[in-house]
Amino acid sequence: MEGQKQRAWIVTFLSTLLILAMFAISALVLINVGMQVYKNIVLANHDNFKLRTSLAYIATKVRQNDVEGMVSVQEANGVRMLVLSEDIGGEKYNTCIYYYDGYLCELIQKEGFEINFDFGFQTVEVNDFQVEELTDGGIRLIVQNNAGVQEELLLYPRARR
Amino acid sequence: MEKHGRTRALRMSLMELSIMISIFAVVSVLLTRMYVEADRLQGNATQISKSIVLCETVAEAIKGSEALEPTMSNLGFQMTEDKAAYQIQYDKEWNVSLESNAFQLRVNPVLEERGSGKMLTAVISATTKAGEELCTLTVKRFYPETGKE
Repeated sequence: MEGQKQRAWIVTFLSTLLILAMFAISALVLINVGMQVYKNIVLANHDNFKLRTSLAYIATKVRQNDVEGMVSVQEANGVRMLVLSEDIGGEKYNTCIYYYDGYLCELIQKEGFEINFDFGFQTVEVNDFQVEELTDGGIRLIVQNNAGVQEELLLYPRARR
Repeated sequence: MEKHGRTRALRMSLMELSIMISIFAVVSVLLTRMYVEADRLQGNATQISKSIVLCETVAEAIKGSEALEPTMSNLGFQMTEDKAAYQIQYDKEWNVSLESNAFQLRVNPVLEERGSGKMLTAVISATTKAGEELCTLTVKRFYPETGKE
């Protein structure tokens, strides 16, 4: 009788422990799933933001400088860049947009000076940025974020039509 | 006597734990549903973002075009059977695909006579296979009768 009671007590105790362990494991799993979902959302948002922001930024810059002969694609020291020119006080200044050292950079400088890519202002962190001139007057912008996702935007500035 | 009391106390805590776990189970089901929904919304946001960039590209190409048809065919669009619109299909990764139509971009052009030329109004819309609309963009382009705009 005493032995039976003891066995019953052990079974109850073990059941309680088992349920407690199940509870702890389930709670941990749920927290982990929540963390993963949150992490995915934040990372995906961040990647989307980088792609959309970089393309929107360049498109806006091009539209702001949409004057004949002022939008061009040039290459310096093996770096291809979008060059937006403007006249300031009778002097020509170039805004160069290029990819350098993991960032989309912007550099404003007087025409004729040698470009020092280190001096550029880092705007958005991206994995790659390519700019191409199309035969029909368009400009193809290709941006890749750090997750390897690539986005492409075609621009047809009025000045180049 | 003391052992009997201890067993009763354990049974009570077993019941308390069972109730607690039932509540936890209900809450975790709700939370899991929320996580799934959040994940789905995030997926949608990515698709919408992608479709907006594509629609913008098509809109830019139309604005820079001298004629609609060659521009559409340059972009890989095909005319629909009823010849009323242009469309292009994409797979799940947004690669142009003839077999898969996970996503679809459609351009509905309307040409109107306007004085010295024609006004093109094109509605560009991106939809999923299920017909869910991701984004819509309307672009207008005036084609003068003679010469460039």
